[in-house]
Amino acid sequence: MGTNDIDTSVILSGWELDNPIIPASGCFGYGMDVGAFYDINKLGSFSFKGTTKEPQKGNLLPRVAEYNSGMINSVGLENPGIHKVVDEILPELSKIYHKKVIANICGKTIEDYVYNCALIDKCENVGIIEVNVSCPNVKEGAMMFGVSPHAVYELTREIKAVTTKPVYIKLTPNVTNIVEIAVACCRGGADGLVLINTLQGMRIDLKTRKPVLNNIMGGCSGPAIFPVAERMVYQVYNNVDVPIIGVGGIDSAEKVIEMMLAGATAVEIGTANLVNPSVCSEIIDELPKVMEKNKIKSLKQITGGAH
Amino acid sequence: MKRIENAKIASNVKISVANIYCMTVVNVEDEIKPGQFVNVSVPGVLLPRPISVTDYKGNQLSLIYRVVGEGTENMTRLEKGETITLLTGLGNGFDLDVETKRPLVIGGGLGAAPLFYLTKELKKRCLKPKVLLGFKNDEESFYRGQFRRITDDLDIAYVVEGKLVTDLLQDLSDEEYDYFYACGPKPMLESVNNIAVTQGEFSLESRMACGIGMCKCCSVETNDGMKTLCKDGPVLKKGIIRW
Repeated sequence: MGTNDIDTSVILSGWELDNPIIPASGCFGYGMDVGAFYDINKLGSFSFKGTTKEPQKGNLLPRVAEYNSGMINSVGLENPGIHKVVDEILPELSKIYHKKVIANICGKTIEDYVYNCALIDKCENVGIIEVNVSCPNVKEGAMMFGVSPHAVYELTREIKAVTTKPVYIKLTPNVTNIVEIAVACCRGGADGLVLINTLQGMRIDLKTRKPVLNNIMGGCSGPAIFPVAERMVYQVYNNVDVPIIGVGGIDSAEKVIEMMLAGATAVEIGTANLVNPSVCSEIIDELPKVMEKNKIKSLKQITGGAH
Repeated sequence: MKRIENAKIASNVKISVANIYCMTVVNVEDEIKPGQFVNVSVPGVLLPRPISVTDYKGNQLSLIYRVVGEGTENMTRLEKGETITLLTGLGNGFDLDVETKRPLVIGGGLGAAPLFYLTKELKKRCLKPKVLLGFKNDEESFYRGQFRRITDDLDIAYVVEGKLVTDLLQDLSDEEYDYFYACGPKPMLESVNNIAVTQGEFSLESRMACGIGMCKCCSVETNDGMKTLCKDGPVLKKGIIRW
Protein backbone atom coordinates (compact mmCIF):
# COMPACT_ATOMS: atom_id res chain seq x y z
CA MET A 1 0.00 0.00 0.00
CA GLY A 2 1.52 3.34 -1.06
CA THR A 3 0.49 6.71 0.35
CA ASN A 4 -1.21 7.43 -3.01
CA ASP A 5 -3.90 4.82 -2.30
CA ILE A 6 -4.64 6.35 1.06
CA ASP A 7 -7.88 8.22 1.58
CA THR A 8 -7.82 10.96 4.21
CA SER A 9 -11.29 12.30 3.44
CA VAL A 10 -14.07 12.24 6.02
CA ILE A 11 -17.75 13.13 5.97
CA LEU A 12 -19.51 15.42 8.43
CA SER A 13 -23.30 15.49 7.94
CA GLY A 14 -23.04 14.89 4.20
CA TRP A 15 -20.17 17.39 3.73
CA GLU A 16 -17.01 15.70 2.47
CA LEU A 17 -13.77 17.16 3.84
CA ASP A 18 -10.42 16.41 2.12
CA ASN A 19 -9.02 15.55 5.53
CA PRO A 20 -10.22 15.66 9.15
CA ILE A 21 -7.95 18.56 10.15
CA ILE A 22 -9.84 21.63 11.37
CA PRO A 23 -8.14 24.48 13.28
CA ALA A 24 -10.26 25.11 16.37
CA SER A 25 -12.20 28.25 17.13
CA GLY A 26 -10.22 30.90 18.98
CA CYS A 27 -6.88 29.61 17.74
CA PHE A 28 -7.19 30.66 14.11
CA GLY A 29 -8.97 34.03 14.05
CA TYR A 30 -10.98 34.28 10.84
CA GLY A 31 -8.37 32.44 8.80
CA MET A 32 -6.46 35.52 7.65
CA ASP A 33 -3.32 35.14 9.77
CA VAL A 34 -1.43 32.03 8.67
CA GLY A 35 -1.25 32.80 4.93
CA ALA A 36 2.46 33.56 5.33
CA PHE A 37 3.05 29.96 6.39
CA TYR A 38 0.81 27.80 4.17
CA ASP A 39 -2.23 27.81 1.90
CA ILE A 40 -5.25 27.34 4.18
CA ASN A 41 -7.12 25.64 1.31
CA LYS A 42 -5.31 22.42 2.24
CA LEU A 43 -7.25 22.26 5.53
CA GLY A 44 -10.31 20.07 5.90
CA SER A 45 -11.99 23.27 7.09
CA PHE A 46 -11.52 25.66 10.01
CA SER A 47 -13.71 26.94 12.81
CA PHE A 48 -13.69 30.70 13.11
CA LYS A 49 -13.42 32.81 16.25
CA GLY A 50 -16.40 32.57 18.59
CA THR A 51 -18.75 35.30 17.38
CA THR A 52 -21.42 37.11 19.38
CA LYS A 53 -24.26 39.41 18.36
CA GLU A 54 -22.53 42.63 19.42
CA PRO A 55 -18.78 43.27 19.16
CA GLN A 56 -16.95 42.15 22.32
CA LYS A 57 -13.79 43.66 23.81
CA GLY A 58 -12.93 40.60 25.85
CA ASN A 59 -11.16 40.58 29.21
CA LEU A 60 -8.33 42.76 30.48
CA LEU A 61 -4.71 41.56 30.24
CA PRO A 62 -3.06 39.30 31.25
CA ARG A 63 -5.19 36.88 29.28
CA VAL A 64 -2.74 34.01 29.14
CA ALA A 65 -0.90 31.84 31.64
CA GLU A 66 1.02 28.63 31.22
CA TYR A 67 1.51 25.30 32.96
CA ASN A 68 3.43 22.12 32.17
CA SER A 69 2.18 20.95 28.76
CA GLY A 70 -0.56 23.51 28.46
CA MET A 71 -1.79 27.06 28.57
CA ILE A 72 -4.68 28.87 30.22
CA ASN A 73 -6.49 31.65 28.39
CA SER A 74 -9.10 34.15 29.46
CA VAL A 75 -9.51 36.06 26.21
CA GLY A 76 -13.25 36.39 26.82
CA LEU A 77 -14.58 36.10 23.26
CA GLU A 78 -13.13 39.29 21.83
CA ASN A 79 -14.75 39.50 18.39
CA PRO A 80 -16.13 42.08 15.95
CA GLY A 81 -19.77 40.93 16.18
CA ILE A 82 -21.94 38.85 13.84
CA HIS A 83 -22.82 41.66 11.43
CA LYS A 84 -19.22 42.52 10.62
CA VAL A 85 -18.47 38.81 10.20
CA VAL A 86 -21.40 38.25 7.83
CA ASP A 87 -21.13 41.52 5.88
CA GLU A 88 -17.35 42.00 5.65
CA ILE A 89 -15.18 39.18 6.95
CA LEU A 90 -16.79 36.15 5.27
CA PRO A 91 -16.99 37.82 1.80
CA GLU A 92 -13.32 38.83 2.19
CA LEU A 93 -12.40 35.31 3.31
CA SER A 94 -14.07 33.76 0.27
CA LYS A 95 -11.46 35.48 -1.91
CA ILE A 96 -8.63 33.45 -0.34
CA TYR A 97 -10.41 30.38 1.02
CA HIS A 98 -12.50 28.34 -1.37
CA LYS A 99 -13.98 25.78 1.00
CA LYS A 100 -16.73 26.13 3.56
CA VAL A 101 -15.96 27.20 7.13
CA ILE A 102 -17.35 26.17 10.47
CA ALA A 103 -19.08 29.11 12.15
CA ASN A 104 -18.56 29.23 15.91
CA ILE A 105 -21.50 31.12 17.39
CA CYS A 106 -21.97 32.42 20.95
CA GLY A 107 -24.61 34.38 22.78
CA LYS A 108 -25.70 35.71 26.13
CA THR A 109 -29.33 34.63 25.76
CA ILE A 110 -31.32 32.10 23.70
CA GLU A 111 -32.53 35.05 21.61
CA ASP A 112 -28.90 36.04 20.84
CA TYR A 113 -28.03 32.52 19.72
CA VAL A 114 -31.15 32.24 17.58
CA TYR A 115 -30.51 35.64 15.98
CA ASN A 116 -26.86 34.86 15.22
CA CYS A 117 -27.54 31.36 13.92
CA ALA A 118 -30.39 32.49 11.65
CA LEU A 119 -28.08 35.13 10.18
CA ILE A 120 -25.07 32.85 9.68
CA ASP A 121 -27.34 30.13 8.22
CA LYS A 122 -27.75 32.30 5.12
CA CYS A 123 -23.99 32.52 4.44
CA GLU A 124 -23.02 30.39 1.50
CA ASN A 125 -19.47 29.69 2.72
CA VAL A 126 -20.58 28.28 6.08
CA GLY A 127 -20.70 24.46 6.18
CA ILE A 128 -21.58 23.81 9.81
CA ILE A 129 -22.86 26.02 12.62
CA GLU A 130 -20.86 25.24 15.75
CA VAL A 131 -22.78 26.45 18.78
CA ASN A 132 -20.45 27.42 21.60
CA VAL A 133 -22.12 26.64 24.93
CA SER A 134 -18.80 26.15 26.60
CA CYS A 135 -16.68 29.31 26.84
CA PRO A 136 -15.60 29.54 30.50
CA ASN A 137 -14.41 33.15 30.18
CA VAL A 138 -17.56 35.22 29.84
CA LYS A 139 -19.95 36.14 32.62
CA GLU A 140 -23.21 35.61 30.77
CA GLY A 141 -24.41 32.88 28.44
CA ALA A 142 -22.04 30.35 26.87
CA MET A 143 -21.07 27.85 29.57
CA MET A 144 -24.28 28.58 31.47
CA PHE A 145 -26.11 26.64 28.74
CA GLY A 146 -23.49 23.93 28.42
CA VAL A 147 -23.72 22.71 32.02
CA SER A 148 -27.46 22.09 32.07
CA PRO A 149 -29.09 19.27 30.05
CA HIS A 150 -32.40 21.12 30.03
CA ALA A 151 -30.91 24.48 28.96
CA VAL A 152 -28.82 22.95 26.19
CA TYR A 153 -31.82 20.92 24.95
CA GLU A 154 -33.98 24.06 24.77
CA LEU A 155 -31.23 26.05 23.07
CA THR A 156 -30.55 23.37 20.47
CA ARG A 157 -34.26 23.05 19.69
CA GLU A 158 -34.68 26.80 19.21
CA ILE A 159 -31.60 27.03 16.96
CA LYS A 160 -32.68 24.04 14.87
CA ALA A 161 -36.05 25.74 14.28
CA VAL A 162 -34.39 28.68 12.46
CA THR A 163 -31.55 26.94 10.60
CA THR A 164 -31.07 24.68 7.60
CA LYS A 165 -27.35 23.93 7.95
CA PRO A 166 -26.02 21.20 10.24
CA VAL A 167 -25.88 22.39 13.85
CA TYR A 168 -23.08 21.02 16.04
CA ILE A 169 -22.96 21.82 19.75
CA LYS A 170 -19.50 22.43 21.26
CA LEU A 171 -19.55 21.10 24.79
CA THR A 172 -17.71 22.02 27.94
CA PRO A 173 -15.86 19.36 29.93
CA ASN A 174 -16.66 21.28 33.13
CA VAL A 175 -19.63 19.05 33.95
CA THR A 176 -20.26 16.00 36.10
CA ASN A 177 -21.79 13.88 33.36
CA ILE A 178 -20.83 14.69 29.78
CA VAL A 179 -23.01 11.91 28.35
CA GLU A 180 -26.14 13.42 29.85
CA ILE A 181 -25.40 16.78 28.18
CA ALA A 182 -24.52 15.16 24.85
CA VAL A 183 -27.73 13.13 24.82
CA ALA A 184 -29.76 16.27 25.64
CA CYS A 185 -28.22 18.02 22.60
CA CYS A 186 -29.21 15.12 20.38
CA ARG A 187 -32.75 15.11 21.75
CA GLY A 188 -32.88 18.81 20.85
CA GLY A 189 -31.98 17.91 17.28
CA ALA A 190 -28.20 18.50 17.17
CA ASP A 191 -26.60 17.17 13.97
CA GLY A 192 -23.24 16.69 15.64
CA LEU A 193 -21.13 17.38 18.72
CA VAL A 194 -17.76 19.01 19.27
CA LEU A 195 -15.86 17.73 22.32
CA ILE A 196 -14.25 19.42 24.26
CA ASN A 197 -13.79 23.11 25.05
CA THR A 198 -11.24 24.16 27.68
CA LEU A 199 -11.11 22.96 31.28
CA GLN A 200 -11.47 25.71 33.84
CA GLY A 201 -8.26 26.47 35.74
CA MET A 202 -6.01 29.15 37.20
CA ARG A 203 -2.42 29.98 38.22
CA ILE A 204 -1.09 32.17 41.01
CA ASP A 205 2.08 34.24 40.67
CA LEU A 206 4.41 33.52 43.62
CA LYS A 207 5.99 36.97 43.46
CA THR A 208 2.74 38.96 43.64
CA ARG A 209 0.74 36.18 45.38
CA LYS A 210 -2.14 37.06 43.08
CA PRO A 211 -3.78 35.17 40.20
CA VAL A 212 -1.81 35.48 36.96
CA LEU A 213 -4.91 36.08 34.86
CA ASN A 214 -6.76 39.36 35.28
CA ASN A 215 -9.97 37.32 34.99
CA ILE A 216 -8.62 35.05 37.80
CA MET A 217 -9.80 31.86 36.04
CA GLY A 218 -9.41 30.75 32.47
CA GLY A 219 -9.59 27.72 30.22
CA CYS A 220 -6.83 25.09 30.18
CA SER A 221 -5.84 23.73 26.80
CA GLY A 222 -2.87 22.03 25.16
CA PRO A 223 -1.32 18.55 25.26
CA ALA A 224 -2.17 18.06 28.96
CA ILE A 225 -5.92 17.88 28.25
CA PHE A 226 -5.70 15.32 25.42
CA PRO A 227 -6.48 12.28 27.61
CA VAL A 228 -9.51 14.07 29.09
CA ALA A 229 -10.83 14.97 25.63
CA GLU A 230 -10.25 11.46 24.34
CA ARG A 231 -12.04 9.94 27.34
CA MET A 232 -15.09 12.17 26.82
CA VAL A 233 -15.24 11.44 23.08
CA TYR A 234 -15.02 7.73 23.89
CA GLN A 235 -17.81 7.94 26.48
CA VAL A 236 -20.13 10.03 24.32
CA TYR A 237 -19.58 7.93 21.16
CA ASN A 238 -21.29 4.98 22.82
CA ASN A 239 -24.40 7.02 23.55
CA VAL A 240 -25.13 9.13 20.47
CA ASP A 241 -25.79 8.55 16.77
CA VAL A 242 -24.36 11.85 15.49
CA PRO A 243 -20.80 12.61 14.35
CA ILE A 244 -18.33 13.92 16.93
CA ILE A 245 -15.51 16.35 16.23
CA GLY A 246 -12.77 15.59 18.76
CA VAL A 247 -10.75 18.50 20.13
CA GLY A 248 -8.31 18.95 22.99
CA GLY A 249 -4.53 18.76 22.98
CA ILE A 250 -4.08 17.25 19.51
CA ASP A 251 -0.69 18.15 18.04
CA SER A 252 0.31 15.21 15.82
CA ALA A 253 -1.07 12.87 13.15
CA GLU A 254 -0.84 10.02 15.66
CA LYS A 255 -3.13 11.85 18.08
CA VAL A 256 -5.56 12.59 15.22
CA ILE A 257 -5.90 8.86 14.59
CA GLU A 258 -6.10 8.09 18.29
CA MET A 259 -8.97 10.58 18.72
CA MET A 260 -10.76 9.08 15.73
CA LEU A 261 -10.40 5.58 17.16
CA ALA A 262 -12.04 6.91 20.33
CA GLY A 263 -15.06 8.01 18.29
CA ALA A 264 -14.31 11.24 16.43
CA THR A 265 -15.20 11.65 12.74
CA ALA A 266 -12.93 14.70 12.43
CA VAL A 267 -10.71 16.68 14.78
CA GLU A 268 -10.06 20.27 15.69
CA ILE A 269 -6.61 21.53 16.53
CA GLY A 270 -6.32 24.50 18.86
CA THR A 271 -3.39 25.44 21.05
CA ALA A 272 -0.86 23.68 18.79
CA ASN A 273 -1.45 26.46 16.21
CA LEU A 274 -0.22 29.01 18.75
CA VAL A 275 2.97 27.04 19.33
CA ASN A 276 3.65 26.43 15.64
CA PRO A 277 1.55 28.28 13.05
CA SER A 278 2.31 25.57 10.45
CA VAL A 279 1.22 22.67 12.62
CA CYS A 280 -2.01 21.86 10.74
CA SER A 281 -0.21 21.86 7.41
CA GLU A 282 2.47 19.58 8.84
CA ILE A 283 -0.11 17.17 10.30
CA ILE A 284 -1.95 17.01 6.94
CA ASP A 285 1.36 16.11 5.24
CA GLU A 286 2.17 13.57 7.91
CA LEU A 287 -1.25 11.89 8.04
CA PRO A 288 -0.91 9.55 4.99
CA LYS A 289 2.47 8.34 6.23
CA VAL A 290 1.15 7.60 9.71
CA MET A 291 -1.90 5.91 8.19
CA GLU A 292 0.32 3.72 6.03
CA LYS A 293 2.48 2.83 9.01
CA ASN A 294 -0.63 1.83 10.94
CA LYS A 295 -2.19 0.00 7.98
CA ILE A 296 -5.13 2.40 7.65
CA LYS A 297 -6.41 2.79 4.10
CA SER A 298 -9.32 5.12 4.71
CA LEU A 299 -9.98 7.42 7.67
CA LYS A 300 -13.72 6.91 7.17
CA GLN A 301 -13.30 3.37 8.46
CA ILE A 302 -11.59 4.05 11.77
CA THR A 303 -14.07 6.21 13.71
CA GLY A 304 -14.86 4.47 16.99
CA GLY A 305 -12.50 1.62 16.13
CA ALA A 306 -11.33 1.35 19.75
CA HIS A 307 -14.78 0.32 20.97
CA MET B 1 7.72 38.97 6.45
CA LYS B 2 6.81 36.42 9.08
CA ARG B 3 8.61 33.11 8.75
CA ILE B 4 9.76 30.06 10.67
CA GLU B 5 13.54 29.88 10.81
CA ASN B 6 15.90 27.28 12.15
CA ALA B 7 18.80 29.35 13.40
CA LYS B 8 22.09 28.41 14.99
CA ILE B 9 23.12 29.82 18.36
CA ALA B 10 26.45 31.64 18.08
CA SER B 11 26.55 32.62 21.75
CA ASN B 12 24.33 32.80 24.80
CA VAL B 13 25.97 34.65 27.68
CA LYS B 14 25.10 36.50 30.87
CA ILE B 15 25.74 40.21 30.37
CA SER B 16 24.68 41.45 33.79
CA VAL B 17 24.66 39.96 37.27
CA ALA B 18 20.97 40.86 37.36
CA ASN B 19 20.24 37.73 35.28
CA ILE B 20 20.24 39.51 31.94
CA TYR B 21 21.49 37.44 29.00
CA CYS B 22 22.31 38.04 25.37
CA MET B 23 21.73 35.31 22.82
CA THR B 24 23.17 35.72 19.36
CA VAL B 25 21.89 33.52 16.57
CA VAL B 26 23.10 33.23 12.98
CA ASN B 27 21.54 32.02 9.72
CA VAL B 28 18.53 34.28 10.09
CA GLU B 29 17.39 35.17 6.61
CA ASP B 30 14.48 37.47 7.31
CA GLU B 31 14.42 41.25 6.97
CA ILE B 32 13.90 42.48 10.49
CA LYS B 33 12.90 46.02 11.44
CA PRO B 34 13.81 47.76 14.71
CA GLY B 35 11.07 47.23 17.28
CA GLN B 36 10.02 43.87 15.88
CA PHE B 37 10.34 40.72 17.97
CA VAL B 38 10.84 37.00 17.48
CA ASN B 39 9.12 34.03 19.11
CA VAL B 40 11.75 31.67 20.46
CA SER B 41 10.84 28.00 20.89
CA VAL B 42 12.24 26.99 24.27
CA PRO B 43 12.65 23.40 25.45
CA GLY B 44 10.51 22.46 28.44
CA VAL B 45 7.74 25.03 27.99
CA LEU B 46 4.83 24.95 25.56
CA LEU B 47 4.51 28.51 24.31
CA PRO B 48 7.32 30.29 22.47
CA ARG B 49 8.88 33.28 24.25
CA PRO B 50 8.51 36.68 22.58
CA ILE B 51 11.88 38.49 22.68
CA SER B 52 12.55 41.88 21.12
CA VAL B 53 15.39 42.26 18.64
CA THR B 54 18.37 44.13 20.11
CA ASP B 55 20.50 44.02 16.98
CA TYR B 56 20.37 42.62 13.49
CA LYS B 57 23.15 42.71 10.96
CA GLY B 58 23.92 40.40 8.09
CA ASN B 59 22.05 37.32 9.12
CA GLN B 60 22.93 37.63 12.77
CA LEU B 61 20.35 38.43 15.39
CA SER B 62 20.97 39.51 19.00
CA LEU B 63 18.32 38.96 21.66
CA ILE B 64 18.64 40.39 25.16
CA TYR B 65 16.41 38.79 27.78
CA ARG B 66 16.04 38.67 31.52
CA VAL B 67 15.33 35.46 33.43
CA VAL B 68 11.82 35.93 34.80
CA GLY B 69 10.49 32.39 34.87
CA GLU B 70 10.86 28.82 33.69
CA GLY B 71 10.93 29.65 29.98
CA THR B 72 13.70 32.24 30.14
CA GLU B 73 15.53 30.07 32.70
CA ASN B 74 15.53 27.23 30.17
CA MET B 75 16.68 29.66 27.47
CA THR B 76 19.89 30.27 29.40
CA ARG B 77 20.75 26.56 29.10
CA LEU B 78 20.76 26.64 25.30
CA GLU B 79 24.33 26.40 24.11
CA LYS B 80 26.48 27.65 21.28
CA GLY B 81 26.06 25.46 18.20
CA GLU B 82 22.53 24.32 19.03
CA THR B 83 19.75 24.96 16.52
CA ILE B 84 16.63 26.74 17.68
CA THR B 85 13.35 27.47 15.97
CA LEU B 86 12.37 31.11 15.70
CA LEU B 87 9.30 32.79 14.33
CA THR B 88 10.73 35.99 12.91
CA GLY B 89 9.38 39.26 11.56
CA LEU B 90 6.75 39.64 14.27
CA GLY B 91 5.10 42.93 15.18
CA ASN B 92 4.98 46.25 13.39
CA GLY B 93 8.25 47.73 14.64
CA PHE B 94 9.12 51.41 15.07
CA ASP B 95 7.99 53.87 12.42
CA LEU B 96 11.15 55.00 10.65
CA ASP B 97 9.29 56.92 7.98
CA VAL B 98 7.98 59.50 10.40
CA GLU B 99 9.13 63.06 9.77
CA THR B 100 11.73 63.90 12.39
CA LYS B 101 14.95 65.86 12.43
CA ARG B 102 15.78 65.48 16.12
CA PRO B 103 14.51 62.08 17.33
CA LEU B 104 14.66 61.21 21.00
CA VAL B 105 15.18 57.60 22.06
CA ILE B 106 14.20 56.87 25.64
CA GLY B 107 14.40 53.55 27.42
CA GLY B 108 14.14 52.10 30.89
CA GLY B 109 15.58 48.80 32.12
CA LEU B 110 15.19 45.96 29.64
CA GLY B 111 13.31 48.42 27.44
CA ALA B 112 16.72 49.68 26.32
CA ALA B 113 17.23 46.43 24.37
CA PRO B 114 15.18 47.12 21.20
CA LEU B 115 16.32 50.75 21.19
CA PHE B 116 19.88 49.76 20.26
CA TYR B 117 18.91 48.53 16.80
CA LEU B 118 16.57 51.52 16.46
CA THR B 119 19.37 53.97 17.29
CA LYS B 120 21.63 52.31 14.72
CA GLU B 121 18.97 52.58 12.03
CA LEU B 122 18.23 56.22 12.87
CA LYS B 123 21.97 56.94 12.53
CA LYS B 124 21.97 55.20 9.15
CA ARG B 125 19.33 57.70 8.07
CA CYS B 126 21.80 60.50 8.91
CA LEU B 127 19.84 61.51 12.00
CA LYS B 128 21.48 62.26 15.33
CA PRO B 129 19.20 60.68 17.90
CA LYS B 130 19.45 61.82 21.49
CA VAL B 131 19.45 58.70 23.68
CA LEU B 132 18.26 58.66 27.29
CA LEU B 133 18.47 55.42 29.25
CA GLY B 134 17.51 54.57 32.80
CA PHE B 135 18.59 51.60 34.91
CA LYS B 136 17.95 50.68 38.52
CA ASN B 137 21.68 50.55 39.26
CA ASP B 138 25.03 49.64 37.75
CA GLU B 139 24.38 45.87 38.00
CA GLU B 140 21.08 46.13 36.15
CA SER B 141 22.57 48.08 33.27
CA PHE B 142 23.74 46.56 30.01
CA TYR B 143 24.97 47.57 26.56
CA ARG B 144 26.24 50.95 27.75
CA GLY B 145 29.50 50.50 25.83
CA GLN B 146 27.67 49.41 22.70
CA PHE B 147 25.39 52.46 22.85
CA ARG B 148 28.42 54.75 23.38
CA ARG B 149 30.07 53.31 20.29
CA ILE B 150 27.13 54.30 18.09
CA THR B 151 26.18 57.62 19.66
CA ASP B 152 27.92 60.40 21.58
CA ASP B 153 24.59 61.88 22.61
CA LEU B 154 23.82 59.43 25.44
CA ASP B 155 22.71 60.19 28.97
CA ILE B 156 22.05 57.51 31.59
CA ALA B 157 20.08 57.85 34.84
CA TYR B 158 20.36 55.43 37.76
CA VAL B 159 17.49 55.02 40.21
CA VAL B 160 19.92 54.36 43.11
CA GLU B 161 21.39 57.79 42.48
CA GLY B 162 17.93 59.28 42.83
CA LYS B 163 17.45 59.95 39.15
CA LEU B 164 14.90 58.51 36.75
CA VAL B 165 15.15 58.53 32.99
CA THR B 166 12.00 60.64 32.97
CA ASP B 167 13.90 63.26 35.02
CA LEU B 168 16.36 63.46 32.12
CA LEU B 169 13.43 63.95 29.80
CA GLN B 170 12.02 66.65 32.05
CA ASP B 171 15.37 68.50 31.89
CA LEU B 172 15.31 68.68 28.08
CA SER B 173 14.18 71.87 26.43
CA ASP B 174 11.39 71.67 23.87
CA GLU B 175 13.83 72.37 21.05
CA GLU B 176 16.04 69.38 21.78
CA TYR B 177 13.69 66.82 20.19
CA ASP B 178 10.80 66.78 17.78
CA TYR B 179 9.68 63.11 18.09
CA PHE B 180 10.28 60.29 20.56
CA TYR B 181 10.57 56.51 20.62
CA ALA B 182 10.10 54.95 24.07
CA CYS B 183 10.35 51.48 25.56
CA GLY B 184 10.36 50.42 29.20
CA PRO B 185 8.15 49.57 32.17
CA LYS B 186 4.59 50.82 31.83
CA PRO B 187 4.75 53.43 34.66
CA MET B 188 7.82 54.93 32.98
CA LEU B 189 6.06 55.02 29.61
CA GLU B 190 3.06 56.70 31.16
CA SER B 191 5.36 59.38 32.63
CA VAL B 192 6.97 59.85 29.23
CA ASN B 193 3.50 60.28 27.77
CA ASN B 194 2.73 62.98 30.33
CA ILE B 195 6.05 64.83 30.08
CA ALA B 196 6.91 64.68 26.39
CA VAL B 197 5.88 67.76 24.44
CA THR B 198 5.95 66.12 21.01
CA GLN B 199 4.37 63.22 19.16
CA GLY B 200 6.01 59.86 19.59
CA GLU B 201 5.53 56.13 19.96
CA PHE B 202 5.75 53.46 22.63
CA SER B 203 6.79 49.84 22.47
CA LEU B 204 4.56 47.89 24.87
CA GLU B 205 4.80 44.38 26.23
CA SER B 206 2.49 41.70 27.53
CA ARG B 207 2.23 37.97 27.90
CA MET B 208 1.59 36.59 24.43
CA ALA B 209 0.83 33.28 22.76
CA CYS B 210 0.68 33.00 18.94
CA GLY B 211 2.62 36.16 18.01
CA ILE B 212 0.66 36.63 14.78
CA GLY B 213 -2.68 38.08 15.91
CA MET B 214 -4.77 34.90 15.90
CA CYS B 215 -5.45 34.14 19.53
CA LYS B 216 -6.10 37.65 20.91
CA CYS B 217 -4.22 36.83 24.10
CA CYS B 218 -2.49 40.24 23.97
CA SER B 219 -5.32 42.55 22.83
CA VAL B 220 -5.72 45.96 24.40
CA GLU B 221 -8.38 48.57 23.94
CA THR B 222 -7.08 51.76 22.31
CA ASN B 223 -8.64 54.98 21.05
CA ASP B 224 -8.46 53.30 17.64
CA GLY B 225 -10.28 50.10 18.64
CA MET B 226 -8.90 46.79 19.86
CA LYS B 227 -5.25 46.15 18.96
CA THR B 228 -3.20 42.98 19.35
CA LEU B 229 0.23 43.91 20.71
CA CYS B 230 1.80 41.04 18.75
CA LYS B 231 0.52 42.06 15.33
CA ASP B 232 -0.84 45.64 15.43
CA GLY B 233 1.89 46.49 18.00
CA PRO B 234 4.04 46.17 19.98
CA VAL B 235 4.65 49.79 18.94
CA LEU B 236 1.64 52.06 19.34
CA LYS B 237 1.53 55.79 18.68
CA LYS B 238 1.06 58.36 21.41
CA GLY B 239 -2.57 59.38 21.51
CA ILE B 240 -4.13 56.01 20.82
CA ILE B 241 -2.96 54.28 24.01
CA ARG B 242 -5.32 54.27 26.98
CA TRP B 243 -3.06 54.44 30.06
